[in-house]
Amino acid sequence: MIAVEDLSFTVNPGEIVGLLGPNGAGKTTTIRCVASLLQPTSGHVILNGHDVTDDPVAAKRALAFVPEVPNPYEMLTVMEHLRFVAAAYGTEEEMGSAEQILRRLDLWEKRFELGASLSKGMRQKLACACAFVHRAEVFCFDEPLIGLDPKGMRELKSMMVERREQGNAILISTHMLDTAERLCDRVIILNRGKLIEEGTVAELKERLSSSADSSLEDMFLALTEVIED
Amino acid sequence: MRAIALLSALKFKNSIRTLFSDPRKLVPLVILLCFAGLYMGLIAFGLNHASSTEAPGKGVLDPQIFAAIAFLLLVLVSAAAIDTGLGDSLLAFGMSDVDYVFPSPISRRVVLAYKLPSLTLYSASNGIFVLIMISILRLATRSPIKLGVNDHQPGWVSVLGLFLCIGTFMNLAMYISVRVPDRKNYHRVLTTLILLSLVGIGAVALRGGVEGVIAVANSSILRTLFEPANLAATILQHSQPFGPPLAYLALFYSASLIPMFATNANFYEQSIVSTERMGALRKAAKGGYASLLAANAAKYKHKSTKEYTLRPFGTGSTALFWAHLCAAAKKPMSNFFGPALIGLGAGTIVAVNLGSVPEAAYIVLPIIILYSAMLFLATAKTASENSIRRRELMSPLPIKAWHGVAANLGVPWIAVVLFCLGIVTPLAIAHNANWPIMVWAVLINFPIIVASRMVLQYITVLGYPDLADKVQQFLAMFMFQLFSMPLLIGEVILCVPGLLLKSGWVGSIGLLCFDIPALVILLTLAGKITEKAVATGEPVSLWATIRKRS
Repeated sequence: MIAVEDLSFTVNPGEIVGLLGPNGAGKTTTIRCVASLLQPTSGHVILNGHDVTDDPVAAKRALAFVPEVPNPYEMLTVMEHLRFVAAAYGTEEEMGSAEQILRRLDLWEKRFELGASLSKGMRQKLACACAFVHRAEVFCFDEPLIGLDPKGMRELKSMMVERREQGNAILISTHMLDTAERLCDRVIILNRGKLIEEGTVAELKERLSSSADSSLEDMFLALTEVIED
Repeated sequence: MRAIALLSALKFKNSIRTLFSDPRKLVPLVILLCFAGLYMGLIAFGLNHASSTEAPGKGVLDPQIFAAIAFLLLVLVSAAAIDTGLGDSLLAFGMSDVDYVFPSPISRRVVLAYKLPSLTLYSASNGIFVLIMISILRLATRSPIKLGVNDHQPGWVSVLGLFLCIGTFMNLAMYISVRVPDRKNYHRVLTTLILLSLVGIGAVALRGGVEGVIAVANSSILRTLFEPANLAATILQHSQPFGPPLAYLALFYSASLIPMFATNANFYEQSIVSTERMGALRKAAKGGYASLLAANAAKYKHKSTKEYTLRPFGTGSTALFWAHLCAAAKKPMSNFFGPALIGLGAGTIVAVNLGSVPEAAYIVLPIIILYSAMLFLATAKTASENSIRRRELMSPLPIKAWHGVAANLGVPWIAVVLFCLGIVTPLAIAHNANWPIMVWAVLINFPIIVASRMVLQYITVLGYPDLADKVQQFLAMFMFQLFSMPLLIGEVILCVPGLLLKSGWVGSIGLLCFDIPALVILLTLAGKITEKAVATGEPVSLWATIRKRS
């Protein structure tokens, strides 16, 4: 079975790109290929100028990845997670920013708690904190907002925007179309492993001849239902 | 490497801290360490001295037969190690590793090195298992520890030799796991080859007797193919100075690490598949019955188009038993036909040996029975774990708790009975000496003894239900062994009259008088503990249940 086929896209520095699609469209597979967790059977993934197959270590040094369902180490505290990630990326000097990141994500009070004792939302926040604690150039988020409380969602979105302003490239897979519409500079819509549409929301409206007040959700449903039919 | 070392150190530090803050984990661990220390001390120092008074070759078992058995056992364990490499388990990491280590810029070689301690531990535990089997063989045959000329071999040499031998094959297995992405067919071929080899050895034993088996073990092809096993067997025999074989084994072990670390193959994808499969099952087990069913369905993808595998029958706990039977019938070979056929094969070997070399048969039968009991208990443990996680579904059902326990353990126990039927059929047909008592003991005593252990295991699983906690699982295993001791002691004492009167029937009836009430008591206890488990959903201690009852 082919999960993703003939997919080609670029995320530029200083850009947030949303990866959208119904369940089973291939979003997670795509993101996992970018994170070099899966090997594409053909083609290349270039991260910050490095091919993830040929030079995975250099490519991953530039990458921060947040999985869909984060599984923290049960026997590591919140702070120890950050310390390990900083050591893995060789950026221990960045640990100075750990307090600020944890405070913003409401994790500072829980910094000495073990991963096993964290709730689902807290685990998600911890994975995001680990992504922001090193000097990543490219961020890959797989459904990062699921399980977060409203304050956490807002804080995470604002952290993403800040990173965009600092010139980082951000790829987010999400089902939250209203968030994607407001947050992303461009969207890529996948269905059954194939790219069916790509561009800004305005470009999509123009191409699909949608009315000015139609939302990304309307266009998404129209596109994916046409394909289904 | 520094990051991985830091990760391991932090995990270890926190595990120890958690362990010391929980007396329920700490106390059994202290007892376990004392036992392990005592045992290792005996192996290292005590046994040699204890046995030094015995003359070489005094025991029932000829040193040549012992050497052949030791080598073949090691070949089997080595082949099983390679077989493991072709399966899923070696490449399974923790879900946390997939999320945090795999996407990080830590090289794949370092990630493999991170896996090495658990691989080493696995090899060491297998080595100790083989050593225990060999010790049992020596005790059962009253063979002296010193079978050869070398009187000064310390006990730790055998442990180290076995570890290096099994470790070599485990490292090769790991290399295969990393290098060969699609291993399913190779796995099937190797498993078939192992089974065929066993059948072949059985056939040789039938035709050529013990001499035939010795000839197989001495075949130069087999010795060359499994040179590390050959060296380890040499060490076990104490027949020559241990230095050279131990040095060669160390060389083999070091060499086996080279291909593993020389390859830079991307094993992450296969590893994620294995890890997610195990993680899903583990999570599902915690999440309850429906999610466990979903995870199992995703794993096996059964293609049956029939509504039911077996026609529904019974109400209450019988219906529950039917549900388990229905599930087991979807894999009839492993659940029903397999045990019966293995029993038949083992029974045939024993029946033939009873005719030609009765001493060997009296050794082989208990070994087969002991080993199969361990396998059946492992199956029953899985069944217990799955059943206990179905509390959410089970608690509203109008079934008496102990009936539920019996229904949950019914299917694994049927496999035991089928295995026993397989063993006794050739014995009954061959009409060898003492066959009625042997058939009776295998068909009646053994299933009841195993049933009581199964229920005991169910109780320990209730006490240590967290599958994700490896320390807890290790302690559960130990507590099971500890609580089995009184049963074993009782059984041994009740065998004494039979031994004194030289009557197997007296021994067997004595055992039944002990094991049947023990089984009833354990079932009742398991039921009580299950009721408590349903109410609280937390681990339940045996002590708490007994205290509440009184």
